[in-house]
Amino acid sequence: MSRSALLRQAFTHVPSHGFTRRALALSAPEELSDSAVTALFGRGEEAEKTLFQAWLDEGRQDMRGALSEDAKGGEKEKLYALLARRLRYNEPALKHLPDAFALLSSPSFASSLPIPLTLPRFRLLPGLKHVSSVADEACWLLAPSSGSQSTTPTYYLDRTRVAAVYAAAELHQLSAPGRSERFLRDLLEGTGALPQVVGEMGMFAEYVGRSWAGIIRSRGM
Amino acid sequence: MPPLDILALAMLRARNLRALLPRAARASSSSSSSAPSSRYLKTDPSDAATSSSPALSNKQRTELGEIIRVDQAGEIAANWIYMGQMAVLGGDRASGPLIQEMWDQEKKHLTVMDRLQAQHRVRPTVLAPVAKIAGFGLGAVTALMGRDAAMACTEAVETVIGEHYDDQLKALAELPVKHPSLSLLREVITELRDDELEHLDTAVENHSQRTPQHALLTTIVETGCKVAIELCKRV
Repeated sequence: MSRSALLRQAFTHVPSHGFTRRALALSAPEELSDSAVTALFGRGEEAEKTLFQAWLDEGRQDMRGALSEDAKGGEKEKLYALLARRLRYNEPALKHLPDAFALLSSPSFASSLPIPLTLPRFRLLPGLKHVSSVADEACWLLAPSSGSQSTTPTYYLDRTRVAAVYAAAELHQLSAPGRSERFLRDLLEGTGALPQVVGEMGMFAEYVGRSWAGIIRSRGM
Repeated sequence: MPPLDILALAMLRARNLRALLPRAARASSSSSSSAPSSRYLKTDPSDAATSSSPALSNKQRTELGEIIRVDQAGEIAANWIYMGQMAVLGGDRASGPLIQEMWDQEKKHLTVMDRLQAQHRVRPTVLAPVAKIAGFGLGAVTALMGRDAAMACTEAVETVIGEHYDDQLKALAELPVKHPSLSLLREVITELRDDELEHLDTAVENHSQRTPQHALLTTIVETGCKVAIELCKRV
């Protein structure tokens, strides 16, 4: 079985065993030995990080399913459907997620020798990277497929808003899973006016710029 | 008017017309349906080369992203440079139509770049508003300096862009992955490079090199373009 096939098989063991080497060991038809897990996926916590990263990547791929089910609905409905689907993907492994996120932030030794040759790098922003990649995926899936409009003007603004909403919703889910979808909907509605506000700020700035251009022109420069 | 001036004016107009004529023939070939960029202007969803992206390693994905990001930023800047030049020289009979025609081609290039950006899911540069303002400023300032200075600015920008597209074509040729979208990308960049070099010829034909301090102006503009390219690649 290929490495990616083994990882996918390991996902089925995650709800019961968490993101551990045990789940990886159970992924093959006959249980893998510890050295086999090390050879395939990395030493110690590296293997667990690999498993978690692969699980997160699978979650992003899974988001596409939300759009094909809900063909109708405007932008807001589609965004809600995408993020809700990603939150639902978390549910089977919910109780293992806080440990897994903590694992992501822990330092890792990149060298193959057991002696640390360099200082461990504390990864300060792995959670942000995860949230921003979910937001990126959601925004690209929502973008018009024919590409008739340019995506540049609101690219960063959309992603910032979706990332913030998703981060809050996921943190809420980790503590209170039952009400997460309601919370997500409230957040999306609350921040829905944001692009319009920024657009109006731009219009005001343009108005001020035009008045300055008129003043400069009238001074005869 | 003395007869010699009339003769000089007639020769100038004839040279302008001659400059327009071969370009008219070339323009029709680039807007015909066989041009690679027309596949992006038509939006056919069943075309795999314009709607799918290859599976690349992280490093290759970053490289492809840099290429498309810089090209898109360059086309935004070029559009706004021509907009700035038109704002000042739009009414000028000799250079107005020329600049308008070059601007129309750049608008098409920008549409193609936007679609490429969406197809390969490339992050656009954060400096897009800066590119717009700086481009407009550059176009307006050089146009205020005179018609020939505007052509000199076009010459400098198109020289840097032409060389830059050439470097990108070499980098893409070294990419080991084979995918219809990548070969289409190479064809599109080749076509865009040829269009930009055509603009360069136009600018030179229209006396860009008659500007006083031509060397200084082109050096400043070329250096500015190179700095902008390096910045947009990373940011």
